[in-house]
This record gives sequence, C-alpha cells and structure tokens, in this order.
Amino acid sequence: MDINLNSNFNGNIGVRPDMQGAGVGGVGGAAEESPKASRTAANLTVGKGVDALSSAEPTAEITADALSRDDDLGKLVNAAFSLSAPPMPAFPE
Amino acid sequence: MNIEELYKTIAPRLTNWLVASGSSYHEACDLVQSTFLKLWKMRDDLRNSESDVSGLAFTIARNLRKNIARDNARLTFVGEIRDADEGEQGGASADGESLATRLSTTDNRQSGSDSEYLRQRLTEAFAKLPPILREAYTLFQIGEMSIRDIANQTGVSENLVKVRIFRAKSKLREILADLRVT
Repeated sequence: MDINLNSNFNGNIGVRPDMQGAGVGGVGGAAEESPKASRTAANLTVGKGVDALSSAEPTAEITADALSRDDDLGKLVNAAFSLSAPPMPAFPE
Repeated sequence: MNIEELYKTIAPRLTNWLVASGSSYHEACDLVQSTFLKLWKMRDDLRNSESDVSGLAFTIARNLRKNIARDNARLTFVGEIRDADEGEQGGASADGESLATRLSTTDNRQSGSDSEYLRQRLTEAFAKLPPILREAYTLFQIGEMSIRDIANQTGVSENLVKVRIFRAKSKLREILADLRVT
C-alpha cells in the first residue's frame, strides 16, 4: 500500500483549534504574566495556596506576615547561611 | 562612601547569598572581594550619585559569577577534547555535577555540624526551586534586600516579587516538610 504523507498535510500538525495560538505556557505552563492571569488576579487570596497563585499576580492579598523574614523558615535559612565574609581586600590607592 | 562601613554591611549578606545560590564558600569569598575592588574603582562615580550600592554590589557579583561560569565552561570543553584525544573515559566534570553532589564532596569534607547539614539541605532545596523563585527569595531573605530593590534589580513589578517570594516559601516548606518548618 502506498501512503503519500504529503497528500493530506495542511500545515497544522495535531493542534486543536481551541489551542492554536496558545504558545509556550498556554497549556499547563507557568503563564504568570498572561492577560488571562491578570484578569483572575483580583480573586486570589493567599489562603488558596500555591496552586491558586501559580498563574496569576495578586495585588494586596499577600500579607506582611506571609512575607516575614522572621518566621520559622526564615530563621532556619538565616541559621544555615550565617557564614563569615572574607577579610576586606586591600584597596589600591 | 565609607568603604569599610559598606563592606561590613554588605559583604556578609553577599557571601551568604552567593553560597545559597550555588557558589562554594571559597568562590563566594573571591567574588565578594572582586566585587568590592570593582566598587572601589567606581568610587568617584558612586560618590556623586544616588546609586543603591547594595543592589549594585549584588549585580556586580552576579555578573562576575556568570563570567566565571562561562570561562569554566570553555575550560571544561577544552578538557573534554583533551580527554577524548587521550582516549580517556573520564567521569562527570565538576561543572556537570549536580549542586547536591558538589556540596557533598566539598563543604562536607569538614565536620558535619548542624549548620552545615542545614546549609546542605537548604541549598538542595533552593536548587529545586525554579530560578526566578530562588532568586527572589534568596535576595529577600539572605540578601536582605527590599521588595522594591529586588523588583528594580530583576525588572519585574513589586507585586510579582511578592508572589515569587510567597511561592518560593511555600515550595520550600513542602520540600523541607521533614524538618517541620512552618
């Protein structure tokens, strides 16, 4: 049986019409700056967690507490990264 | 510009940020000193400007590290060609090793204190974060930079910096769940 691979090729390889033009991040990607993400941003809260935030830029919902440097995680990080700086180099005149 | 005061303020943060974002301690020390030598050369310009010296120091250090990584990549490539010419079946180069492997063969040669264990765990956890989240969080927590300065340095909005820090913290808590970090 002869199969002509070119006979039915229309330049559109397996892309569903509703997905065309989605581009990188359009399907399951991290589209954090997409217009769609911006439209949904106002509805998000910190309490909805990482998944809710994965594709949007909320505005005032992330509280100061959520960004504290002094929570347990911050203290752990500070404890781990408390290395001494090297001696100051001699600066040429 | 009082260079000594600047050094006392910025150098420890810069050292720890470099280590947290993948450099060995020795490399971080070299980078910090090189960064301040560059700042020293720029002192006349800085004296007459409103520049954020802290942010500038982080930018210089980051660029210096990129240059070193690029040079190392070239050296590795040359080394690989030589190895091939000599018919050697060499193992993975240091540049090709994972961050975790590199840590376990360098920093851990010293005694395994709690802070070293924590540093290794956290560095591994940082390595699992997407780079944009890692950068925002480490600049914020270890670099002690403000949200605004991070936004200026990374070229995104302050809100997006907040989101990235929040997401980084959430992911770190997941990765470090066994440490019961809240």
